[in-house]
Amino acid sequence: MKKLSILCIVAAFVILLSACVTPPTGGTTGDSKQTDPVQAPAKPKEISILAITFTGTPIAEDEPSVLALEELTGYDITLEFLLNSSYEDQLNTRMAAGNLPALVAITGKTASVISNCRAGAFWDITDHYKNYPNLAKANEIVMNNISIDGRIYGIYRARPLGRNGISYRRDWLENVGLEEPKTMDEFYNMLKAFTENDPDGNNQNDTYGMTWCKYFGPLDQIAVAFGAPNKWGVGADGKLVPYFDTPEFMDSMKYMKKLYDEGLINKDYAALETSDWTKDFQNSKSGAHIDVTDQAWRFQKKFIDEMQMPEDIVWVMGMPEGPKGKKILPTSGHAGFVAISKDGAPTEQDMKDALNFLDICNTKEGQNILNWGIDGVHYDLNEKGEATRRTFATDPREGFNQFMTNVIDGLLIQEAMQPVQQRHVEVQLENIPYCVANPAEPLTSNTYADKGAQLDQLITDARNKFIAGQIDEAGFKGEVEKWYAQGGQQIVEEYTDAYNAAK
Amino acid sequence: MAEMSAGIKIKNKRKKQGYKLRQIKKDLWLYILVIPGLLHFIVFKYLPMWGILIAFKDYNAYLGFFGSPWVGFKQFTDFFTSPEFGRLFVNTLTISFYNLIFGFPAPVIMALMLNEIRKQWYKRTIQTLVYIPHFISWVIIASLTYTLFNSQGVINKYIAAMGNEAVPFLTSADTFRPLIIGQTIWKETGFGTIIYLAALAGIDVQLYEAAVIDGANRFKQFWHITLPSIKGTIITLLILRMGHILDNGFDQLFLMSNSLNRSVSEVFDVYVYTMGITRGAFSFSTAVGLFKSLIGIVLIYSSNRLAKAAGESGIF
Amino acid sequence: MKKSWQSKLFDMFNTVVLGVFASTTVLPFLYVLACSFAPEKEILSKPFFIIPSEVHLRSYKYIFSSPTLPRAFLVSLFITISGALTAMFFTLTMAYPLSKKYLVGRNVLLGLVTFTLVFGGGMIPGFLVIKSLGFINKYWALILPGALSTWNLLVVKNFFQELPQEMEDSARVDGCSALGTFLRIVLPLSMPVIATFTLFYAVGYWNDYRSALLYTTNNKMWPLQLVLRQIILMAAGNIDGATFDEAYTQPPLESVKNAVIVFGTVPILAVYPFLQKHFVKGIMIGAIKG
Repeated sequence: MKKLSILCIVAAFVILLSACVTPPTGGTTGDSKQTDPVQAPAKPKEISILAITFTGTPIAEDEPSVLALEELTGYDITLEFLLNSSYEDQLNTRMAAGNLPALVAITGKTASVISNCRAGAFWDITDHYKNYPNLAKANEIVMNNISIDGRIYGIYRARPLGRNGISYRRDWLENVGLEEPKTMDEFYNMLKAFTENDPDGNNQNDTYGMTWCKYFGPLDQIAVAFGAPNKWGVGADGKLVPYFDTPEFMDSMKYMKKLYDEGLINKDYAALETSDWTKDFQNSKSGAHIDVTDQAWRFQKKFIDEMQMPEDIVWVMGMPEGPKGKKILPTSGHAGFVAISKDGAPTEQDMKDALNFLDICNTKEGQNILNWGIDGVHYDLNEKGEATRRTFATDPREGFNQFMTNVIDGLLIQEAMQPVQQRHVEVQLENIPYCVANPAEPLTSNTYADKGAQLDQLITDARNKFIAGQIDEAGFKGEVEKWYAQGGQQIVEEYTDAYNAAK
Repeated sequence: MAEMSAGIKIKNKRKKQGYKLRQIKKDLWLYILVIPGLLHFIVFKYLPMWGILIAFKDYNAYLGFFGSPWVGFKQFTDFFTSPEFGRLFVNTLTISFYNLIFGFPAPVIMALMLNEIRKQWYKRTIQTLVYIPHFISWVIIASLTYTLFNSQGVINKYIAAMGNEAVPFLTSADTFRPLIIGQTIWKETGFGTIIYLAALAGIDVQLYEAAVIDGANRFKQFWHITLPSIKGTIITLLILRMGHILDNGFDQLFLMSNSLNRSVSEVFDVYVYTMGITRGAFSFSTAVGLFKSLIGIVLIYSSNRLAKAAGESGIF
Repeated sequence: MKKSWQSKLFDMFNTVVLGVFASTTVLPFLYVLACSFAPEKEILSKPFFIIPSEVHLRSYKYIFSSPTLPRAFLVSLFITISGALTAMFFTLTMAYPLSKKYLVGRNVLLGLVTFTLVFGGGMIPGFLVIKSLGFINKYWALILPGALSTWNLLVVKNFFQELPQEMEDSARVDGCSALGTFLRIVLPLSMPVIATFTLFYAVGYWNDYRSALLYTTNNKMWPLQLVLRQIILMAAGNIDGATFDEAYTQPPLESVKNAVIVFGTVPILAVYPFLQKHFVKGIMIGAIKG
């Protein structure tokens, strides 16, 4: 009896164990990915890269694009991907375990990135990157923007500076008999007409001006259009001033409150999730959308493909001129940077090899392989030399562009574009002279790193409360005082010191 | 009751005789059975326990555990002295309290109601349907809540049709808590019912048969057989729940909170997340977690003691 | 048997209330299901519907167009089944001895167990333990750490404690070992409990994406919930445009998002009705005895 029982338990355990080790598919190929430190001398140089996947089906290592890049650079490339939804958590855990490859895509200057850079997790390349012909041409301002304490820890992942703008319904504008707004007042008129003058011509009062959501991007763009600083302004006394402590910011809030009170924006915007932000525009309920200019094409494409609507009903413009002249909120010009980790590139020679690799990626060929892939495989050229991507059920190159830095402009093959896309590229260029720089962008404040999120939220909340009418001007001023008292004053001083020191 | 007194009787007798060693030998099989679980506890629960010390450090992933600077109680003092602490504590406790009062009994009541259904097909169908929302993510539920409750939504259209003024359900501090509790009850009651159904299924049907012969009506059967039979389970779950009194569902509260209801919607879990975005997330959140655990363990031990004082068996 | 009018009234009330509640719980799911088949236009223009105007299969075609989701489904299935079995082994074997009040050292063990109900080491130490065991990128890492939940253990222990002791005692007197009693008397009596906790563990494993997120870098090992979460979050919109060529990376269609949700929930929903028969059978202690 006893023996039998023991046997049973042991047998059950063995079955369980063996069930666990037999993988149903693929298996544990991740193991073989780990690079062997001891290399045969004949082998080419190796580079391992950690990048971001958005779909969970990232590019395979034998994909033609990867092979082409290996041939171009002479490096043997190993790719690893993490899902973007919790990229930073995973990065931290892997760093704790000493498990990072040589090149790591970093999405932004978050507190943990700053503290890891300071602690020496990544190579300081300030004195090195200029030795490489292509990297040396990187934009100094953007390089400065990604710096931490004045030191540079990677090559930025370039993004267009003048990317912000307004998508709107061109057919609606025609229906209500208006021109594209040039000023913020005309923009108000447009929203008013979209709400009250039946722009869709169905004789029903079922439209409104513009949709907002929990994300405060549109509010920030309007604030800057009214002349408020981009996050930080420089006061007369040489001190930095937070954007919300300026009369221009108050003007912008009064404007937005008017929009809110007259029902030109959705009343519940403070509770609307970002995921549902575009729904009303896409469903022809609202007619304007303040976000990035490329959103216009996404709207247009979906109108054609899914809603059976005509072409060219969506158009795009930059922010109209405010009372203090035309002012545009720029993006930071980067989406983080590609850093070189000391885990994956322990020696200085490894670091130089990695920089060399990034340098080759910034040649014309390198940029185009990363962005477009292979002619005739991933895209086709028309007679004008413009490229059109081929469509695939699932993108075979997914995630491959996530370590693309593209620090030199103008090397990419032009895309064959629809009118609204051409317009959005134009708007991005038109925006650039009017962009308002953030003087604190390259600076670091330890207090901000510590309490910033909480303090930022205080202001976001106060702004929404003001617009919704829960607090008045004095109430808002009170919240700003609270901001100063809870650490804002220190942030101002730290930024001011850092600003003057950097001058 | 019977098994308890039997257990105590055996215990006392054996203690008196002092045959501990012989008893261990007799129960050898029980000790062998414990081994796999015990190993699991040691490896996966106790080996990582040193991580609690992270709460006293300013943890940096690259510097590692030993390299990170020791900051003592800084994370705790930062937390306790933050201007938000009082409000967070009240908000957290209030939501937990409402969830305990309304959310905890809901599955018990539903299980008892299901138990009274005689048509098996109906019972099974209902059981399966109410269990579904547990599997729908909070993102979807928050989105549906917006659709139903926004100022242009179905509920407000109905309110308007009744001639009343629209209620800003989503952007008002007054409606936040009812909305949250409602969502929780709707989502988790069905799933919570399962464990009570298991307890109900464990009741010896002979007890009912005997009661019917004695002429007990349905209510008397319920009161004297059904309820006492699942009382132990209810108490066990209640005590276990006390350990997590300061946990509110993060996803739900994070999605449902916004600028206009933050005065009541910000709780520890959401605060830690917001703070974690910019500061040493690991150290700070470990410190807050430790604080919550201390409260939890105190509540577990005291409620367990209370249960025992009331003559119940408790969880340990 | 006659029924009193109160009893009949109660039955009616009971039936109606449960029916109404159950219909509110099923409607959102039916909506998600309808959306997964509906044309995009309908999803955007109607706030709620249960029967789509046209039935499209393209979302499901999309799901099966790449190997990712079917593979993730198999991974999830494997982890769920082997995980639930492993977990039940650990839980039942440990809960039974702990339910015996006469066991020497029981209080120490219970103290150790209860402590872990609220105290845990956290993510990083957990990761280092998994790493030192060599479990990174192994299915072990997705199965073993979750294979014994303190909460479940304590509840099962209490269920065991409430079983009638007399039968076990008589079995022991008849010369059955503790193991024999456990396997031949206690387990058969505990079918509702076993069914419940198998379900709980299965649900836990099915919904778990964190272990895979932390312990695997090989995307072939990613379970369904991890990929699903990514698709839903991607549909949630990308505020700061982390992708370079924006027009090229379109967020997934609403219908795809909904189809993915259906694909991720229906298999686990199907488990419950299968286990349900163990909940409705009242046990007959006398029958087993005899």
